[in-house]
Parts: sequence; C-alpha cells; structure tokens
Amino acid sequence: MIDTIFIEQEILDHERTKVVLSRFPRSRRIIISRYQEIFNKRTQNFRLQKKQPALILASKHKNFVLPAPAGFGIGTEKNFYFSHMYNCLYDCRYCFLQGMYSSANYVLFVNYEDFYSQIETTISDNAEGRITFFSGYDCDSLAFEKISGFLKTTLPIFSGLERADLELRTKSVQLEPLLSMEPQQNCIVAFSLMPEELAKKLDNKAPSISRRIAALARLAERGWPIGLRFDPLIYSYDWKDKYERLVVSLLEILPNESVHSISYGPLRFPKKMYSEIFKLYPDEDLFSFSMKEADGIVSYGNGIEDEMSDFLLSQLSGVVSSDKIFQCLSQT
Amino acid sequence: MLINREKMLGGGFEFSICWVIALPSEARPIISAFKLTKTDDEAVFPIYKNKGSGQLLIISGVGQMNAAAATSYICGRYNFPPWVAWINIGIAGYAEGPLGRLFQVAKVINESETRVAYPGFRLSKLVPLTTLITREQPCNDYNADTLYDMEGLAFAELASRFSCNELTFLFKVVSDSNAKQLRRIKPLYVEKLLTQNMRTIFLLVDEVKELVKEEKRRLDISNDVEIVLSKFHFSASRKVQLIQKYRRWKTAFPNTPFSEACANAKSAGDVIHTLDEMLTSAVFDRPSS
Repeated sequence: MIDTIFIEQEILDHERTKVVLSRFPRSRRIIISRYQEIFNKRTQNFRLQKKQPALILASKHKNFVLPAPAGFGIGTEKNFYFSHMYNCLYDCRYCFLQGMYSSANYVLFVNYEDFYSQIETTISDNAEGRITFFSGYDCDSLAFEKISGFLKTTLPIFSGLERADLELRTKSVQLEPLLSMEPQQNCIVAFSLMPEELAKKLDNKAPSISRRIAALARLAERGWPIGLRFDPLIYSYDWKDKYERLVVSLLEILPNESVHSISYGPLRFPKKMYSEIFKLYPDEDLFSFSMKEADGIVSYGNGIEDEMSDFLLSQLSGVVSSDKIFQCLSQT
Repeated sequence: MLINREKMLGGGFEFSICWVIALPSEARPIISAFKLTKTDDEAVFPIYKNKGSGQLLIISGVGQMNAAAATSYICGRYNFPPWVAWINIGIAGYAEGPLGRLFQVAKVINESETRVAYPGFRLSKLVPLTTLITREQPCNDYNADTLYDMEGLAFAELASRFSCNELTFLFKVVSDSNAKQLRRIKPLYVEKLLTQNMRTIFLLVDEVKELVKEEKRRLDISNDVEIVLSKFHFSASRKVQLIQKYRRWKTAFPNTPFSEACANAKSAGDVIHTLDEMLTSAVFDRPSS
C-alpha cells in the first residue's frame, strides 16, 4: 500500500497524475520540484525504504529511449530500452536494481507520449531491419499496470509500428490489459523464471513460479507470443534437477508455436554493484558461495557459467528451435 | 581530551536513539518519560542519557546554527555507530490547528526553497505527515498545510549524514496558529503540548527502535571479528575482506564457532584463506542451509 505520493509541481495538473492519485485517495501528497531531489539523495537507506516505498510522480525530460547494453537481445540487430518507471514492486535478492539506485521509492514518469514520440524517432533513425524495444529494464513491465495504465496506451502505439518489437519483461500475473486485447505479434510477454525452490527464497514479494507458469499459459492460449527468461541462472545445490523440472513443466504446458524466444544469462554483477547489494543484505545466503571477480565483474566464473548454459541448452535442444534461443551476457 | 573521555564513558553503551531538542521545556517531558539523567556539567550543551535504553538527549537552543552545532557535538563526543536513530521533536506553527496535534515531517525546506530534505522512515500509521519550513526568525504568517519551526532543516541535513535519512526523524507539535497564540507560548504550555502526546511518542519510539535493531544487525561488526582483528595484523583492505567474508561464512555456517573454524590460523592471511576454503562449499539452497 502506497501511503505517500510525491508529485512534481510541473505535472500536478497532468491528466495521468489525476488518474494515478485517484487510485490512492487516502495517500498523503507532497509537492516537489524535481524527482531527483528526493530520489537521488545519497544518504538514503535502500533497505529500510524498501519496506515501505513511496510513489514519485514525475516528468521525464530526456533519455527517453536508450541503446540496450551490449549482449542484450532476442534476435534483432538493434535493441533499445525505455523506462517509464524506476524500481520494482518486487524485492528479488539478485536484482541489479538494488544496487542501482540509492532510493527504493517508485518513480513513475507520466509523460508517456514523449516516450512514444522518441520511439518513433528511433525507428526512423534506424531505417533498416527490425528493432526491439525492451520496457522492463528498470522496472517490471506489468506489475504496476493497474496504477500506471502504461500498457493500455502503449500497446496500441506498437500495433502501428511495423518494424518494431516490444518486450514486456515481467514476473507479474496481473494480465490486464493483455487478456482483454487482441494479441499483437510484435509484443512479446517475457516471464522471468527460475526453479520454484529458488524463487521462494529469492523472489521476495513476487508471484510464485507456478502462478507465473499458469499466467503465461493463459496468455499463450490467447495468442500472445511468449518469452521465457532464465536470467539469471542461479547456481545452487542440485541445480540440474531443479532446472530440468522447471523446463519440463514449462514445455508441458506451453505450445511450441507460442514460444517467441528463450533467453538465459549468468548471474553477474559489476564489482561496485555487487558490493552495494552485499552491504544491503550481508546475511543473504545467495552471496555466501565464493564468486569470482575478473575485469570488474563478479560472477560464478566461466566453468560454472558454461556448465549451466550447456545444461539448459541440452534440456531445450530438440524441443525448441535453436534460432529462438539467445544467450544474454549483458552486465547490467 | 574531553571528547576522548566521553567516548570512553560511552564504551559499552548500546546506542539506539539520540534526541536533539531546542528548548528545555520541549525536552522535559521526554527526559521524564524515558527516565534520562543529566550527564556531567562539562559539556557545551546539556546532555541527558539513559544507559539502559540506549537513549541520549541534547538540548541545542533555538535556531539552525544551534541545532547543527549540537547534532555534530554529540555525535563527535559519543562516536555514534551508524545505526543510531536521530529524533528532533518540538513545537511548530501551523495555520490550521488543532493546537497540540503531533505530525511527522516528510519534507523540510528553507523559506527560499533552496535547501530540501526528506527525512525519516514514514510512520504514517501513527501520525500524519506534512511539510515543514524552517525559518530564521519567528513569524506567524503561515501557509496552509505547512509547519514552521527554526531548527528542523539543519538537523535533518546533518543527522542523516551521521546515520541515514530513514533513521532521521522530525516530529512537531502544533503550538500556535496565529500571532496571538504565538505570543502566548510559555514553557509550561510547551511542556503540556508534548506531555499530552506522550502515548503516541512512546509508540513512535518503539517503531524507531525496531528499525535501529534491523540496521544494527546489518551493520554491527561481530565480536568474533574484533577478536581476530586484535590477534593478527590486518591491513585496511584485508580488514574489509575479513568483515565481508565473515558475514558470508556466518550465514553459511551459523552453528560453527568461529574460534573452532580458525583454530589453526597463524596469521591474517590464514584466516582469510580458511574462510575462502569453507565458502567454496557454501552452495546456495543446500540441504543444511
């Protein structure tokens, strides 16, 4: 429950601000000049703040669309991301967002139209080939939809963009407006997945894996292209058995033709980010195992990474066409 | 010398909350309710403490300069750990009344709005939140829905540096809504305003203490580490390594005594090496974890 909403003076009268505020009639509203004056303060305590994040309604002024990090993609040559929101409702222990911002408050940029305009500019600036836009980089694409209504306005925009794909990355089982709209073949609903036992320990506040699988099955049935994201792959006791069971349960329920793409990636952090996340959660068992640091990146090391990747591929081979499978090696 | 002596006096003191309060009349209800007693008279500002509850209180005097000086003074004097919560409580003007209503400050600015802070983990289930303007001089032209005081901003800016934003709290009791009421403010009246809110203040302090406990658990350095640090020479970077690896090791092997695990270590390097060796087996989600 959001008890406090900070609102930039500039967007007080914005229609979308009014809609969001109407969802929280009992919240305390506090006017601010710019969101950075609260979001970027250095003395904030992310961990305590995460217990009770506030919502910040703001207007984004620049950097609406950015190139995706190298190694991040699902088949198209050109990849971009945009963030209409910073931070996530969920509290996943491995998530880079915990080391990314000094604040755990949610920032929602209400000027969606400026994002759309920049997306169209990006498409015309890149005249050839398909382009993928990723929306779930700094937030979960679906989890806040009931409040933000972002997809409800974004999906119709993308239905008119012939050369563009949109990836919605999510752990949410909140499926509106997808269930009540006609499926769009250029909109991939991509679910982040890991074995249930691990998700129970790491994906705090997020829906269970079985609920995510049920949700993706419903969307597939409706005709939405589905993405499966095994990113990060978590090294754990008996991991082969756990991932095998996960893959089997997915392939059992999901028709092959519904699978748009599968991507996987190792657990990796830039050294500074790892250090920040460890400081926040020093008693997290995930960080007990010795990880390796090389070239400023903390990871399980090539041996474990390769073994896990090879195993996952072996589970998928013969079932899912290899041209639908992508390795994600981005280092956030 | 004095500071060193006080730091020694603070040894063994389980710090949890430090109150910074402008006026003696604002402080008296807190001193009485939390059974604080005055420390020695050599201090530049009057300081009260209760060792049992880990609370300290300093009376700063009126104004931002005094609030900043007192906050820095007591922090330096007692060498507070970073999990200490800081509370500024006192009276404030407010256009709408009712007099005696207690607020938590969620935003504090100066009059020209060139400085701003957003202090505190919000305790909105217990008290309403509002904005505070810190002024240089007393004044009674109040905007709607805004509190006015003379210390809050400087306190919020400084205390959050010594601890963190979420452990820096400003609570204000409405003392006046117009010029006539402002002129009538007397020490006994101020005491009464604070006293009538003590029930809520106790609840607020309980909540604050829970946050302090959580932060202490996160930040405190174990005795195990202190013992090893005193036994072997660790360079600064090795000390950081030790602290980090120890936390990981303790999470993985909560029931193993550290002295047993490091029984054969003869140097700082041996301790680090031993921890590293053990952590290679600390695979996530293993049956014993």
